[in-house]
Amino acid sequence: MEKIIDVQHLSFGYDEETLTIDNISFSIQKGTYTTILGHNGSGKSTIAKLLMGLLEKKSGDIIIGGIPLTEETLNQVRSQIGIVFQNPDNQFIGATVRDDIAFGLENNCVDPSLMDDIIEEYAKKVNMYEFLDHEPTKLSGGQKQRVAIAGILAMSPSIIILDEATSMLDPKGKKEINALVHQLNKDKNMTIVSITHDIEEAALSDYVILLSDGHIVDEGKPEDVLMKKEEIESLALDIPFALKVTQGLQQMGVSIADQIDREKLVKELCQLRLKK
Amino acid sequence: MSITFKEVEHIYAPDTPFAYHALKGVNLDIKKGSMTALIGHTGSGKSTLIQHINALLLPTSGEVKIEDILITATNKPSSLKPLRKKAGLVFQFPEYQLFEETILKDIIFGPKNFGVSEEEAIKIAKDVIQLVGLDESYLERSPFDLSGGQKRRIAIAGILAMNPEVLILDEPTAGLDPQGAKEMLQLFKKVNEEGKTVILVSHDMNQVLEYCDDVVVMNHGQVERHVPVEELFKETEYLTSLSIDLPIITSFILELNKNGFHIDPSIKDMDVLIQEIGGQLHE
Repeated sequence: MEKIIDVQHLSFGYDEETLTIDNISFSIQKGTYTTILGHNGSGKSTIAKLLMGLLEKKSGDIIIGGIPLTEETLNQVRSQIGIVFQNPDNQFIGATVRDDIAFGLENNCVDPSLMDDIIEEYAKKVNMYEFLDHEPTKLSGGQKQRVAIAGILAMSPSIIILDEATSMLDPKGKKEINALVHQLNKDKNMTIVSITHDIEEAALSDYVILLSDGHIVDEGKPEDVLMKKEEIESLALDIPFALKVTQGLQQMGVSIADQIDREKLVKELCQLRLKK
Repeated sequence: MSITFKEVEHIYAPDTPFAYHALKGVNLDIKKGSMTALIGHTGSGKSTLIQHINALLLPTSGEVKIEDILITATNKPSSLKPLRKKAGLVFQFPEYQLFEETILKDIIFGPKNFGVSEEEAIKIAKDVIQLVGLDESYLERSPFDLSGGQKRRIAIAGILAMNPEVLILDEPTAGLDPQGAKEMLQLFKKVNEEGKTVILVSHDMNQVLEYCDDVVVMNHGQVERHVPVEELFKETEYLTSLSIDLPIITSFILELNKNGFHIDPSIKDMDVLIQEIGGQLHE
């Protein structure tokens, strides 16, 4: 496996006294789907901005695709990463949805004769095709998020960072976008870093990094990290629904193993019922 | 305080290529003192509807009545102050509305505009900051030094400080962590139990089931349902047709029932559910 993001001893503070990110190290493998999970104010979004070079680190190293992030390599690093922020109002440029998606492509010097096809392809993927000639600022919150996501996906960066990028979508929209991102992760081997506090989304990822007050509290596969009830609850997160059920049943004396996957839990419960 | 919509239509940018028919013949009567959820997928007209309640938008035709204040296309109330005092609207991402140097100044801005003395407004600020789960020490700080979730609380405190009779919240928990979301919803429930009407726009059916009494479903600019929450989640086919997910607990029960369990799908409480599953395994 190849490390596509490598962060070593990274520290950062918005002012002189406090460290928002306090000496953290982690690496992300190419082609994986990683979630960074943490409560509000844990430093999740700050990490995203540091990776993009939008904030200047205090100390430590950030290496993206083998290139150390410095003032000189800023553009090289940024060309590999697409980021979708929580509030899409912060990233609209174009007067229409079409122009907005085109903006990123133009910056990447995509052949103008190919541009229309690419724009339409991604607008369709996020279900915003009918809105191509609408003004982005007049769309609803969820529609704006879809446009912002299409604009980033169209550039096909090797790394996509989603910073609470589906927080305003309805559950179906969220599912569609998550499925699309998972598909790009598999088909195009894109590396996905999703910043969220949705534990059910984290349960479906390859790797979880648990963040609190600028420190990494735990990291690993979701089935290991998310099983730790006390740890998760102490971080103001909610434990997965399935785990609540299995732990409640254990207290009643039912012999059932901890589980974070609801579908698997339904199967197990049905087998238990038949065996009784 | 009653809120009534009669045959309300709303068209954005009429007679232009961007014309958009956002509300179509909306009739609605929201019960005083209820906690009502407003649901529907993105673009269904929810945000348009709530902006009529404090006359940020005027109906293109039809009428909106907030207690004794009538709002129609031509009849904009001569003074909006009484209306805006009655109905407090909290937008999506209200933290972007913060503007003052200190949190105290931000919170007292509203009450002072409604004629409350500075002294009284400060007293109110001290109360509401605690209501939203922060302490008085925050009052002298700049709202811009806080995290997103804390800013949200300050913005909501600013609305609560005006003591509105109706509190309208557009996706108030979007972007908050689960603990923060829970505290926020418990706060709204408390405000509701003190007698205020609360209208909650939400995509999260788990919240709707757990905290709301009634639910209004919008689809393509129309009100399709206005029923008690438990009634709505019985209509699984209708909800599927609208791509509205069931609450996790309800869909989990239905899955179990498909596979031989017999559990009441209207169970809202996790502990009750676990007892029920455990019971059926032990039988």
